[in-house]
Amino acid sequence: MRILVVEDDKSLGKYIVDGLKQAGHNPDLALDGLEGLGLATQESYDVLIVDRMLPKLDGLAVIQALRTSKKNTPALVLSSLGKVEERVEGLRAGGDDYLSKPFSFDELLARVEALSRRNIHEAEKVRLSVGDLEMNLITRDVTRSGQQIELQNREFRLLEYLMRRPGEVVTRTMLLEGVWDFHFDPQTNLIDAQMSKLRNKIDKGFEKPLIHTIRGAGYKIST
Amino acid sequence: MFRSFTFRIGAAIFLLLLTLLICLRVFSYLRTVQSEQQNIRQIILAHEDEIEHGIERNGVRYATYLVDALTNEPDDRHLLLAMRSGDVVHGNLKSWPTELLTAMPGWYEQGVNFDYSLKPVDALLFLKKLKGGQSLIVGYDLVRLEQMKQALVSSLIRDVWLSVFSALCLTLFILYLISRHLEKVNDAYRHVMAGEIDFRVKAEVSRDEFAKLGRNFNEMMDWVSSLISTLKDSTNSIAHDLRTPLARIRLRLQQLGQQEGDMSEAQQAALLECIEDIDHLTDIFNGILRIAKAEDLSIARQFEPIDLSVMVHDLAEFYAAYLEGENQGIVLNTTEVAMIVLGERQLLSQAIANLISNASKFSPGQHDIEITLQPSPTKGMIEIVVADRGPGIPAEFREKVKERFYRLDQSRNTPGIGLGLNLADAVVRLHQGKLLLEDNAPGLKSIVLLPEYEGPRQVAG
Repeated sequence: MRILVVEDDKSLGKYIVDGLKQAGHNPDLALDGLEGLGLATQESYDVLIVDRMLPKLDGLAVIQALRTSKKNTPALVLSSLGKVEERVEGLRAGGDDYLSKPFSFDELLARVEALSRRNIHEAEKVRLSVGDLEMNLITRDVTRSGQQIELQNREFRLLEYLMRRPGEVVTRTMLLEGVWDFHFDPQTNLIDAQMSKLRNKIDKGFEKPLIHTIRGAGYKIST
Repeated sequence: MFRSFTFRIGAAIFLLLLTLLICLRVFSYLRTVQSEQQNIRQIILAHEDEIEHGIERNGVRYATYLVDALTNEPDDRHLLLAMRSGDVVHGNLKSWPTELLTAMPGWYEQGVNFDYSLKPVDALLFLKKLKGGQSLIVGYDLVRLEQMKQALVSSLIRDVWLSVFSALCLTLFILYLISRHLEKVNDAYRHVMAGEIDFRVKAEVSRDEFAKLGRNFNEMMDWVSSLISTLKDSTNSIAHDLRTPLARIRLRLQQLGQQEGDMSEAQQAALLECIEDIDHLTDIFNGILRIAKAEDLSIARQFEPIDLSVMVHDLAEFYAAYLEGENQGIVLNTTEVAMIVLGERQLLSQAIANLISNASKFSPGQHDIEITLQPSPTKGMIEIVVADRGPGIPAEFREKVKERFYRLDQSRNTPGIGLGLNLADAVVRLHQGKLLLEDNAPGLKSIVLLPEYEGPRQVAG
């Protein structure tokens, strides 16, 4: 995946780039807004990682400029303020996701990978399936190997969130934001409790578990 | 209303004006009556004088003649004259009043019978012993005075009503002037409290106290805004300057940990602890920023209607899954009725989440946490009650625990940074509500009071 990192802090930028390389991606680094905008318009990237506060041209201005020239490369905004209204501002300016500093690298990686596959999730699907687990989004039926599974409303949404991203790492904060719309951290282990409840219903009694814990990062659903 | 300053000052002005006006009327009434009485006395004394001099100059016979002549005057039927010498009585009295037979000379007021009147008439009399041994009564009936008094009293009553009315008008006018000026500043306060920090009182040319009040308000708000913006700028730059190096350290540590081999288990553990510490620092940092946000009144502009029953339900469900593992349960008492408040969704959820989280942290296992959402006994308010069966908070610390970073000694060993209640309190205050901490005997009862939203019932999400 080709990724452009626009970050004015050289050292932090280098760490991000190194990490992305290790994960098998192909990142470029730009040190200010103008350079970032130049690279983003000339080259074709899969995802942009843009710091909010940049010299020469503000991060949001970079994204806005790209959007006006009909460049729809998904962008992740890195913020140093971490306030809710800033997040809203970032999304309004055309950013697609938002992460506040400091962050764990796994969180960044999970979000970047989720962004690159964003277009796939947007398709209007009626059925989702992972292995022998099937979900009908209209009748809200969930079956595994033909067996009906009863899920509560939130459990259904949690599973839907995972099943829309098969094989992708989904972090706890992504789940908090995407499923519960909580843009704050109540207590991280709360998500684990929700997940173990869901696991009890999905994986218990079956030979091959579908929901996997990724240490230090989050969860993943896959065969 | 009765405690409002304008009402009290209005009542005071009104009473003062009324008393003043009524006093004036009563005084002028008394003056008129008195001067009429004076008139009557002068008439009486003049006649008495004339008769006395008549006797001195021309003898008793002339005086009797004078009395008869005066009492026969057809157009003055108010004058009363009687002269007694021995048993003979002259004048227009039917008979000499028995009360005055032995009386001392002087003024008397009593009923007498004129020779032409059918019943006794009230009159003012002057009794005089003449040098010749005769007694003389000169009097004047009080009929006209009584009539005048009655006319005056009825006009006095009319005047009192007029006074009430004019005092009322005047008072209302004064009050209107005062409250119009005060309302301008009050209105400005309301706008500022609703988040329009740039709202100012319209400038006035006059130099009176009210204009000064407005100008001072504006100056104060200019000062406050500049303080706020300086504070915001510095918080933002501190946030930026701290977060980037923190992000750097965290990534660096993480990469160190992922390098294969050459690190002992103890080193790995230390590395993990470092990362945890950075996360803890970040938590504190985010907490403070959140509180700063909750204390920023301009957020109120982004308020939207929120259904608390959905929110509380979501949170209870969210925590229930976790508490199950701790052998605790959540009992949720709520109705199906929508309970709408105006607010910022994320801040409100976090405030309530903090209370539930506290309840679970501090109450020992196997005791359920009870969450109740209901209309408050206080009219127009909704209350969310989170009750636990833990050790509670001693009464003397219930205000203190709302302070930033304050932690009770007994809770030093539980995880946390001492910002949860402070944030909840700030958020609730931002929403014009109240956070009350009460005894649940045993345990703690946290009550969030929020004003119910009365506006159009369109609830987002």
